[in-house]
Amino acid sequence: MTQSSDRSTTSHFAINEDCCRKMAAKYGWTLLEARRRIAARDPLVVECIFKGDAQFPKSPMDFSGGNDQ
Amino acid sequence: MSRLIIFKADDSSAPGWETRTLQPGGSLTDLLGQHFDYSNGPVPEVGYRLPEFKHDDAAATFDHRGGVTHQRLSPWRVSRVDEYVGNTGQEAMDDVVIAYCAYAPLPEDQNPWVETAPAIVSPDSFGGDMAAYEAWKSRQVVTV
Repeated sequence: MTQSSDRSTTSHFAINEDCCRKMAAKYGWTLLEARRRIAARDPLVVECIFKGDAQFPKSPMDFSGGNDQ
Repeated sequence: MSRLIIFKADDSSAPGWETRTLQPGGSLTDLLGQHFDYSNGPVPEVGYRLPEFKHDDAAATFDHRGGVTHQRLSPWRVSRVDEYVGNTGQEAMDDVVIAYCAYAPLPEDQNPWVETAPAIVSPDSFGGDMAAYEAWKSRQVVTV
């Protein structure tokens, strides 16, 4: 498998772009993009998109299936 | 180690040049993207493609809460890689890579949009501020 076929990514919401970079540095991830979250209704206005399976060693809490509205 | 990877179009006249601008000034640019890489992995190979993302709730299975919903490979394919390594040990990034990309779109039928997983929220989302994280968590609606 070449890099060109590696499509997987993992998103984390964050309060700012700096948090994205700090997460990347802390956990050894690659930050592909930091994007403005559309119509955020909370302080998490940035979406950090990391390469591959950017999961925590022990996930503290995952609201990926939740609803914050 | 820390590595900044800058992706640039190898031809500033490649399709889409009219809309490749720096904001808010509007100056034309050949910058396509940047990665902050702390993985200690290799530099991008020739042939690597930048990903591209979109937000399309109507086509999504999950509630992405305003995040991206789909991704696929972009038309930009790395054609040449230059690497610059810091020499003082004081640099903000240990390594800077410039990856020049050729415009080489894939056929639509070979490059479908794939839905992404919804985003994760953790204390790191708040810069490690556990109180802010707990406050956010307490405001979430629990659905059964």
